[in-house]
Amino acid sequence: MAGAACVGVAWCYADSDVPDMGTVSIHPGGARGLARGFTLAEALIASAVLAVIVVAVAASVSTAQKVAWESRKRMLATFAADGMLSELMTLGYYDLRDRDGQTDAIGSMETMDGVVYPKAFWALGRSVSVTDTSVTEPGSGTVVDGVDVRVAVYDEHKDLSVLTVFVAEPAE
Amino acid sequence: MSCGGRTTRVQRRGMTTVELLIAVTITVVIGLSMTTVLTSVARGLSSTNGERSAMQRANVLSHRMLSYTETALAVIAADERGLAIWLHDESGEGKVNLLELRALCFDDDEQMMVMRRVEFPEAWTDEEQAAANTVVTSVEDPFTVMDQQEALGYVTTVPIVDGVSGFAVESSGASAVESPRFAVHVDVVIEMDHSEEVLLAVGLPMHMEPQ
Repeated sequence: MAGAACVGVAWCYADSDVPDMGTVSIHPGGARGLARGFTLAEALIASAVLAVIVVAVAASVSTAQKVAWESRKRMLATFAADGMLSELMTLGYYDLRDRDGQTDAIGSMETMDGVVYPKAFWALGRSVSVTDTSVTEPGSGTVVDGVDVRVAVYDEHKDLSVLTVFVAEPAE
Repeated sequence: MSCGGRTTRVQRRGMTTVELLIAVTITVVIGLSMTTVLTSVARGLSSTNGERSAMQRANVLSHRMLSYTETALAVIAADERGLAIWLHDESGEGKVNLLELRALCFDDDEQMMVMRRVEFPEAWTDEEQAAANTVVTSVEDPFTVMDQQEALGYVTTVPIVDGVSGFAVESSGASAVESPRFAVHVDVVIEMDHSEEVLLAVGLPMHMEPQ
């Protein structure tokens, strides 16, 4: 290496077997003087990269939490819809019509007998509609009159669970 | 040091104590913040998993209960021990026989819901089965009857769902047997010492009172 052009200094041990590390610049350009710090641009870029990473992680965690919350609400909505439908089926055909338009406001759902739903259901409301309809049996072509009982459980934005069941009018 | 005819002498000073202390302090602060954030994220995710699992367990219980009550004739007892369901009237006498009984029981010790039913040995003849298939009278407690049958070895227990820490029932009528509707309160375990109360409303469309 002796006499060779020197790029950087870590390789320039020409005159000594033991490099004098105390006086060696660590800059490849062979800069003289004290080791320089980061420039403002470098610091800003580093901060920006860090900020992007932090924001990305926070956003994904937040999205995961939101999805989990939504899924939980849908499950609770299904319980509330299943429950109301199960309760409605205990009524006679002609009593079902009286339930048309029944609504439980968000946060104040009750069973048909007035048992208040616990706080887990606070974000949910519920409505019942009973509409006349008729269905035609595919095989015989017989027309059966009855009602569609529809239970919808919703939050402040949209329906989360909607169940509909057809109840045939009893034969006279 | 000579290097290719050029001399570079660079002074490399170390950090002062103040700089070192500041650097250490900043590192510690950042480390603590990161630890706090990561811990709370991990706790949040764990809690979310627990909630999801709890909701799934409540869903299983809801479906199993509804599958029984959709065709059941009556609930002859309902309290913190569970629901004693008269499933069908196989004898056609309007009375509750042992084989027509299902007990949805809350096992407080194991924190789980189980379904119990009487099942006589297959080796028995029809006459023996009919003789053992006695009527559960209205004065008898069906859960106690089930315990007695279990002591004799005639009860099959099927686990329904675990992770249930509390169970309570409200009837729509003056007594369970008169009621076509029930509000079942279930505490499902999310994490250790943390449960969520869920209400499951069930109705009996085929409701009839036993004689």
